[in-house]
Amino acid sequence: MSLKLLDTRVLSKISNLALHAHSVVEGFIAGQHRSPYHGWSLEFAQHREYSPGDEPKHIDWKVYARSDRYYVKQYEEETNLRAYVVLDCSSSMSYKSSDGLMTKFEYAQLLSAALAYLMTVQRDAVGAAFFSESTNVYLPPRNTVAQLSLITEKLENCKPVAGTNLAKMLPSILQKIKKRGVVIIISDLFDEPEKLVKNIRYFQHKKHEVIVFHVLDPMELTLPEGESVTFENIETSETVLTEPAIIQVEYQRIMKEFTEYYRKNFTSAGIDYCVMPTSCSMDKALGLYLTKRHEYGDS
Amino acid sequence: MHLFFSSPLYFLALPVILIPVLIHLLYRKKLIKLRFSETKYINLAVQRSVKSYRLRQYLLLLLRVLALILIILYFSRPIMSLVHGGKGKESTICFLIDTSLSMSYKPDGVKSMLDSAKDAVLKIAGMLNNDEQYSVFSFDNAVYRHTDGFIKDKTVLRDALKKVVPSAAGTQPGLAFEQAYGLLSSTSAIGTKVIVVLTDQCSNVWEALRENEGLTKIPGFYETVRVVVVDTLPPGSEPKNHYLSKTVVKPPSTGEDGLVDIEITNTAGQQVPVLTCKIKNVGNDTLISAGFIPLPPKGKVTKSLPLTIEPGTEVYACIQTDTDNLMLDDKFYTVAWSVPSQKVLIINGEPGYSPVDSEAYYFITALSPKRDTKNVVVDVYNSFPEEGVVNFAEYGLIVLANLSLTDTADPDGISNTLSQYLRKKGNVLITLGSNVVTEKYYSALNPLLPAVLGGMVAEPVGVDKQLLNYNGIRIEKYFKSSLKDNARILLRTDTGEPLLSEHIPFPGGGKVFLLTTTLDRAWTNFPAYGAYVTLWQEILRYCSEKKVRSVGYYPAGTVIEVPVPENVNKNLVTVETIIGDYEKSIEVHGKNIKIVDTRNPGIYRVSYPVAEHREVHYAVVNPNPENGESALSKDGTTDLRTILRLQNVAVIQNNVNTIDNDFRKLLYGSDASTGLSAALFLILLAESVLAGVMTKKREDKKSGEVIQ
Repeated sequence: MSLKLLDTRVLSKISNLALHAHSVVEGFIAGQHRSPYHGWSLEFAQHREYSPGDEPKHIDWKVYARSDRYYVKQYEEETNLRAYVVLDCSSSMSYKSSDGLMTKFEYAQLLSAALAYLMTVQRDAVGAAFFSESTNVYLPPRNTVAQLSLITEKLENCKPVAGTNLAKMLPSILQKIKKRGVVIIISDLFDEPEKLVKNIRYFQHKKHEVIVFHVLDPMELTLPEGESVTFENIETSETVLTEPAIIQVEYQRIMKEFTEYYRKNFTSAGIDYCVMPTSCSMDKALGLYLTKRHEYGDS
Repeated sequence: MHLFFSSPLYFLALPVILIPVLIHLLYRKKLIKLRFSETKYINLAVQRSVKSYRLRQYLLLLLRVLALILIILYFSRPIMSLVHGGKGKESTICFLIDTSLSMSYKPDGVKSMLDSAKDAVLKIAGMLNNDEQYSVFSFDNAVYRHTDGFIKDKTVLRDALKKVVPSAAGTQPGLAFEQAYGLLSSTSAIGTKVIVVLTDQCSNVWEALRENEGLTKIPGFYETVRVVVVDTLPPGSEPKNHYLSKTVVKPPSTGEDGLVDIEITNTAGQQVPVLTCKIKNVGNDTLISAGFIPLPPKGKVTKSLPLTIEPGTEVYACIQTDTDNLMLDDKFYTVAWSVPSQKVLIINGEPGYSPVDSEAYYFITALSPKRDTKNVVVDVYNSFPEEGVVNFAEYGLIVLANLSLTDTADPDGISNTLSQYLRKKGNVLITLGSNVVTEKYYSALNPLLPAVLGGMVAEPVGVDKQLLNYNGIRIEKYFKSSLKDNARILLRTDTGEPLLSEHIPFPGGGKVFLLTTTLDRAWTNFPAYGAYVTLWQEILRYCSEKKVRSVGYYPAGTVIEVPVPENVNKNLVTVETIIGDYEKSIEVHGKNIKIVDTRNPGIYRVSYPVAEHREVHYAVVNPNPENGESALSKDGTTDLRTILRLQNVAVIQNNVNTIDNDFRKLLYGSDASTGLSAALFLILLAESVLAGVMTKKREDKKSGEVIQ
């Protein structure tokens, strides 16, 4: 069975986050055209027959001495790309609808791990920042397998905490990120939109490439069914009594406005924005990262 | 305006309007609690949606309550009265009971229609308040008064009704109306004045109310009196058809398939000439015309009819009265209206016998079936008018209807006049009949006739083709004729003889039509067929091109002004309508004649002498649409009953056997049920639209797209 076909339903039953991430990324890569980035770096990859245009400095003279033929040396590409995964640990991320398979936070954890794994496979340096009221984790980017283990371990230990305000946390995260790189923010963005946009755009201002994965439960987009429902806010315990049947159309319109607001503001600032309902495969996110990485490499 | 209810008991059901209110107030939906990530946006949606949703809910509740109220109102039969004044203004009623011979007929074999009428009077009296008064008249050809003035006592009423006995006479309600109106006028009571007529001859009543007996000429009659006609015929029977007997079809006596003997008993003993006999309740309750059957006043008659009726089938035979013999179905009214504007002069050879039986009557009815068409104006003379008395040039068609030329002093003069008229593109229609002497016609009119006339033949023949799908047209008598070279035949007998022929005697001139029979019932049954109307109208359309001179149209009730030259003697100005002279309503002001009383729709003919002839103006008075209801139907014709309704005459709603509380609306006012039904329909429509919109919104949100 192709691992790519593993969906979140299956993944949710696997407890090991690292294994999840591996499954997700391998599944993703299995579906891609396998073409590693070859270049001239320190780590030798293979020999290739010399052809006109190749720089003579890359000719392996030892091989020439042995075989009397010109060969050039090829090395695995090594980049200086640094990626930072920033995970929102606010308590609203712990929401899971009645027919949902995982909470938004679990989905975000898995997405973070998958991205970290992919980055490691791509030999990118990967760092992470998980911030909440009680947790303050910052892992500077490294391109080692040990770093991946560390990230997944920290991810597994991380829990959503009430009172966490992502908009407030972002400036302190920005302070910690010294070198420019790709910043991946995974959040439900349930905060003050103007403030969030402003603070996220600040990353862009500091020459970082930014990708925002907007994680939402499908029910947050459509509203749960029910004749008469008291909705209790997970974070603030505030309640609203209403009939979803009456407000559903209006609510969907508001949520569309909500996501469109982010899309419009992020896109205009050159920030990639992607809504990720928890029922969706993560291929989209991984694909987006690879595209971004490529653009970053070109730049 | 006053409102009362025929069935007020239905108001006991009013508390049902609380049902939707209670449902609205008490209905509690199942409450569940859900933890949710962010309630800010839910709050926002609530603020935006709930207000309009509540508004719709309240509107829906209001509509449902209104619908229930209207349903209850509908069942309680509201009646709106413009005339009933309440306490102190009670109704005064004159009962007119038809005692003619036909009222002795026992539809169920037990109770005569007269007894039913008496019972109905008692029943109606029982529904009246104690303060309401009434009197009893009976009538046949004469009028009999059975109470001394007005009474309020039911016992006195019963005694009076005992004096009402059947007679062997006919039905002439006009005089009874006049006497009842006189009595009603003499009372000082302020409330509604009602004449209740109980009769099986409703068509006679219509005629009396409308024109024949001159009731329309009584000033204030329709303004002060409400007329209610109660039909004493069994339920389901049309007022114009009179069932004579139920009979069982016997097996064919002749041995021929489809020819059955039918026995008809004239139990009513009516002394009316029978035009047609119809068989009802055959197959799917269809009417089958059985042709002419001479019916003796009493006794039985057996007729072999070419009908396919299963032997043993129970059928009803009925006759039609004179006035309905044209079988004018609705579809023919349209045809009548399609006749172009025309002026027709009929010179009638059968004057004096009865206006109904005359040839002129048939023509008038054919050209204007209900005498209300705006397009055709018909003048009738009983002898050929002299030149100068009539301006022939203004007529598009001159009809010589069974005209005798034997007693005419100057047949050649007639011929010359007609020749001149034809040269000026006038048209002439000649119908033959018992007054026609062939030789006289030949000598006087031969150059004009399309055929050479032979003798009269009394051998029944048919018509060679179906006329507008009407079978069974029979010609009992006709004149033999041989067609001239330049003539052509429009209609033949089934033996090939010309029946209707035409030719143009003068090149470039008008046409001459010759009908070799007459419309007399002894000659043909043609007038009993709808095709008859159509045929004459087609002929009129075909032959005439001339338009009626300036015809004015006026709504009923408006003053008609006709300009008159100054040298005209105003005393010689006359105004005529189809009901006769109208001099009482004329006022002459300077150069104008004013017709003041124009409440009756119809054609008004104003004439005055100028030199040797009379100048004629026509004004057509249509029912006044501003009176609350237009009497003109879509095709432009007027329904007699609609006119009567406009004139405060109640249309027959109840049969004598089914008088109930509904009868009050005939006495006092109009039924508001139609308006209520319309309102109820609109409310239910609005309710379903609103409910549909709300349901659709719910469905929309279910299928709302998920944002990706």
